[in-house]
Amino acid sequence: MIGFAAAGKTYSTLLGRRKVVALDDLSLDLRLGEVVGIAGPNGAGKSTLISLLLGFLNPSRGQVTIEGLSARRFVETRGVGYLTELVNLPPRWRVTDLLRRMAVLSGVPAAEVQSRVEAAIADLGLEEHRHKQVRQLSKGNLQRVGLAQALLGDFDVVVLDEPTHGLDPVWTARFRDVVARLRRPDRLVLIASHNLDELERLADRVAILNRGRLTRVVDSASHSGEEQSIAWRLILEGSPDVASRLPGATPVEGRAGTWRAMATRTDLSAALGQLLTAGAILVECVPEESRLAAEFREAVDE
Amino acid sequence: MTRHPSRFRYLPWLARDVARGPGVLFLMAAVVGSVIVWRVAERTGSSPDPGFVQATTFAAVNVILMLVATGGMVNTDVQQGFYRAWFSKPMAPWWFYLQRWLLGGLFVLATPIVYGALLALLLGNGMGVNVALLVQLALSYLLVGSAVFLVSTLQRLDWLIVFILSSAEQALHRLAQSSLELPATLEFAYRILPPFHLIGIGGPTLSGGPLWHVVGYGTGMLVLALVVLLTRPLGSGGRA
Repeated sequence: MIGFAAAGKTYSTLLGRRKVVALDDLSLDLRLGEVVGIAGPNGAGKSTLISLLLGFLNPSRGQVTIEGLSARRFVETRGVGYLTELVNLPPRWRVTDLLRRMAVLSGVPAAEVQSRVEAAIADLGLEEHRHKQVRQLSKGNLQRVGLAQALLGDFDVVVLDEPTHGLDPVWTARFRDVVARLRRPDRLVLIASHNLDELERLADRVAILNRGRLTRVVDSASHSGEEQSIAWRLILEGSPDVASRLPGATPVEGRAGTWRAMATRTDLSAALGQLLTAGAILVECVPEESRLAAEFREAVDE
Repeated sequence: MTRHPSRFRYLPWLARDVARGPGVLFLMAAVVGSVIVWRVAERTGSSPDPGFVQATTFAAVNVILMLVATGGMVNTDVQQGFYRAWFSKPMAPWWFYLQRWLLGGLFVLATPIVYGALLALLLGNGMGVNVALLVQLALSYLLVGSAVFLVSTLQRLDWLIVFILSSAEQALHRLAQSSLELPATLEFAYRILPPFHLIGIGGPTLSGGPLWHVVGYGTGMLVLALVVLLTRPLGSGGRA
């Protein structure tokens, strides 16, 4: 479906004196039916990757193709549902008009434009904002309008750049339902986000970028696996000898009975078994970071 | 989604944008201009020919009219980041902006018709539609409008750049017509700049070599603008 073949992008000044490699030697295949996450620290190349994917930039090296076509050619003929990181829309346009325009541009048949717009307004809770100008919207409402315009067309490729940016917790949760409904066998959904928890919940695979390079691709099978060592926080009562049973465990200063340990699930289960047999009472045992977060930390530290 | 949607599906919305932008300005200018002429004619007891009034007015505002009709056409969308919403949809930028450019031309040509009709109504004589003026304005739009379109695909302040180029070319033309001999660089600049001096309003309608000079230059810049949009990505950075 989408293929990045040794793709790279270098930005240079007009005379080429200063060059910045934003993306380097990226090879990645994305398939229909997948929800793929893109994660990375600031400046990792996520936005450049999306611009290449939409044909808003040409790669300096390698190729980016969608169904065998150049990215730009694909977008111009088939379109992509795209939510930008910063939602930029003409400030004086009214929400309903804006959505009608975007539906028309998306190629929605004239007879369906109104119903599609009404459905988007209802889905994204924009009823009370429908007559407002874009400039009168709060950040969260603007984000919802951005999401609505991206989803008006029934596109095979959907790209969401920081989709929950500015959304309140209620709408962040509802957004997950929206993405769940987007998932279908003939569609690829790509989500770029800093929110690893969100990516872990939504994506089948997460590509981690760092300094313009793809450092690893974590798929759901591996990040739900057992052998990944992550940080845990434990609260135990009964003065057990935690350090000897769970190597590397360290007490948290100032909090009696609280320990921090790096361990796989298997090792932790075994150690906890021994501790409970020895009379300890387990009050709490929570992962301090998600498995994806652990992978992310390792990838960025590499 | 329709797999092969109409290429003209967004045209009504573009027409609405041009009508609400340059169109409203042109209409207001036509109303104000015709009322001023009518009041002056009433006070002086004269009865000027609407065709003559039109030609005199458009001779004064010709270039400004073209700049208002086309200024910032591509560049505003790029600078503001609007292009990301428009062109993630199945729409090619070259086609989108060609439609916008053609609509700008239609509104430019509609302005003297409205102005002439108002003058004819208020002054009570004349037809108000001057075909020679329409031809001159169309040629002017082809040259100046295409220049702004081309610059707009590459650079900010397109209208200002074209205004400066137009003023410079006309100054060089006057110098070249005088007894002064132009230095080689200025002579070269005069030769390569678009022939803005040929698009004066009110004079004889262009024909022969000057006509082809204007048409060739205008069409060339229009085609070049479309080629830029076809080949050059609109983005300049990850988020830009």
